[in-house]
Amino acid sequence: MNIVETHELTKVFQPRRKKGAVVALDGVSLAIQQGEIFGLLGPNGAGKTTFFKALLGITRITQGDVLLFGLPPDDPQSRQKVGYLPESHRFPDHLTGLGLLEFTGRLCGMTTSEIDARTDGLLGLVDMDKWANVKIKRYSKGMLQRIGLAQSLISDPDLLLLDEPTDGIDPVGKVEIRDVLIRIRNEGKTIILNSHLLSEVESAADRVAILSRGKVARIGTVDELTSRKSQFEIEGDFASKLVSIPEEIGRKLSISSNRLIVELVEDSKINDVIDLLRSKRISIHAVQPLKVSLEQSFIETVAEQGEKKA
Amino acid sequence: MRGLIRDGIVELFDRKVIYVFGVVSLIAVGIIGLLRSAEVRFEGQIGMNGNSMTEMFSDQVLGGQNQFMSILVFLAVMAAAGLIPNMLVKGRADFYLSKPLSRSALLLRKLISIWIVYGGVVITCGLIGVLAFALFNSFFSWGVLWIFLFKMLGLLIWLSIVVFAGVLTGSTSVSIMSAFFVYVLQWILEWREMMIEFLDSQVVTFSLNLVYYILPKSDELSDITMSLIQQKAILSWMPLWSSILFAVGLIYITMLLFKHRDY
Repeated sequence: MNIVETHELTKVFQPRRKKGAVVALDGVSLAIQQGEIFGLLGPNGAGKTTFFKALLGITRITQGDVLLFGLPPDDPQSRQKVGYLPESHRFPDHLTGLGLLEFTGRLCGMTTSEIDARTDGLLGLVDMDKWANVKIKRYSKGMLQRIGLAQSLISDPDLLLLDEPTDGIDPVGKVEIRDVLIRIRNEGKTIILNSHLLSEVESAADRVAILSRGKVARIGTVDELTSRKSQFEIEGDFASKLVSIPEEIGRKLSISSNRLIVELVEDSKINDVIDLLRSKRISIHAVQPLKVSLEQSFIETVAEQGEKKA
Repeated sequence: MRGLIRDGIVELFDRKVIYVFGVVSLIAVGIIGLLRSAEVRFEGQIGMNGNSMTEMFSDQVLGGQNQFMSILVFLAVMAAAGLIPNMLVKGRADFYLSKPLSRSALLLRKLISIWIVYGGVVITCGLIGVLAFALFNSFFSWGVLWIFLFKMLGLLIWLSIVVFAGVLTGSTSVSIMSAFFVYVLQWILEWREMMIEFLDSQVVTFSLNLVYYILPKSDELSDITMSLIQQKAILSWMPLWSSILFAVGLIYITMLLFKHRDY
């Protein structure tokens, strides 16, 4: 079941003077399913935050369709089961952490008993129970992020939109938050995670979309995004063995005593390479698609988009 | 709604606004106490016994109460002018607008919660004044209920202006200045008939009359209040219904504006 669906979603910020319109989102079509952690990556100004705001009706869309739980963003009911942690949030700072959770619960239409039943557990979950009765204006950046995460969870949402959730949080806290997100996902909830920290997305997300200049440049599982197309890494004993790959199969990218990297005309040609190596009595230990880090994949994708635009 | 009212009360204390109202009320109680001692001396000098001077000047006393409440409404409007711009700053607007409430409902609830919280403070301070008069001068009139009613209405009218300016500009300063501007303008327009005589232009006459009928009329609402207290005939109810219409219209326009804004 798709929790979020966008079709050709476009948002153009039109300044008062006609010149200089900014296309924040340009025909974004995505379908996000129940129970997945979906990572949204992109450089600054790629449209990630605007995408969240368009989903929630905070910003009006220029063109296209948005559906949240099958409802358009104009319908307040579409936000009934949504938790949101905004980027650069400024929660009402006259409230305490506990007060913020109660206030958020009230805005979500929860009763006192429903709020009370959730607050203790959530404060413990984000390790903020000691600071619950301290005013938010006294919180550090990390504490604000933690209480922000707790307020996004107060209504037990089915969809969680997190915009830079670990911003300002120490490394131990980041691991804790990642574990919390995985636990929430395992409960069948859907999470859309917008983060600059690629390692964080790589370790938590099931699927990732890379936004660049308002467009979806790439989308897929982390495995799909980090695999180089038709490139394989073969581990074996190549010492003093001459290996040449016929052109109709592909080409050799690099070779060392125990590692050969090849680029093939198509994935199925890997069997031909294996046969070739076996015929030369080379012992093969492992064959796997060549992987790059998500960071590398992200940088390459963004650079490609930049070249296309140029 | 309960959440917004509670939030408004917490904010009232956090921003120390409540203490300003407390100080103003204390000054009022002090003045009432001084009036009493002056009254006792005056009664002695003119040899009045039994009939309190306050009873004789009851209209003036209620007029004073009306003025005191006007000051409280003025303070409440100044204090509340920043609440909407504060709600709509970057990062906080996202927090409010991501909740399962329509924008119209959110704005209307916020306005009503401000009105209830600040109106509650105005009424409480007004009651302190009434009680002080009752204690020091043994004077009480049910006419104060008219004052309370009209001041609550006045507060709603002025809040509609600061909320409109807050949504339109997102600026506390502009919200305060808008309220001042409307106040000064409606005060000037009370003299429009004299101006029309001097100007002798149909266009100007029409424009001045139009603006006069559109804008709220706080001084004339005070006159209606005093007439009701003194049980005099009301010459015209127009200032009342046109002021209410102004507030309702402005709130509606604000809701439309808020509905179509990007945050």
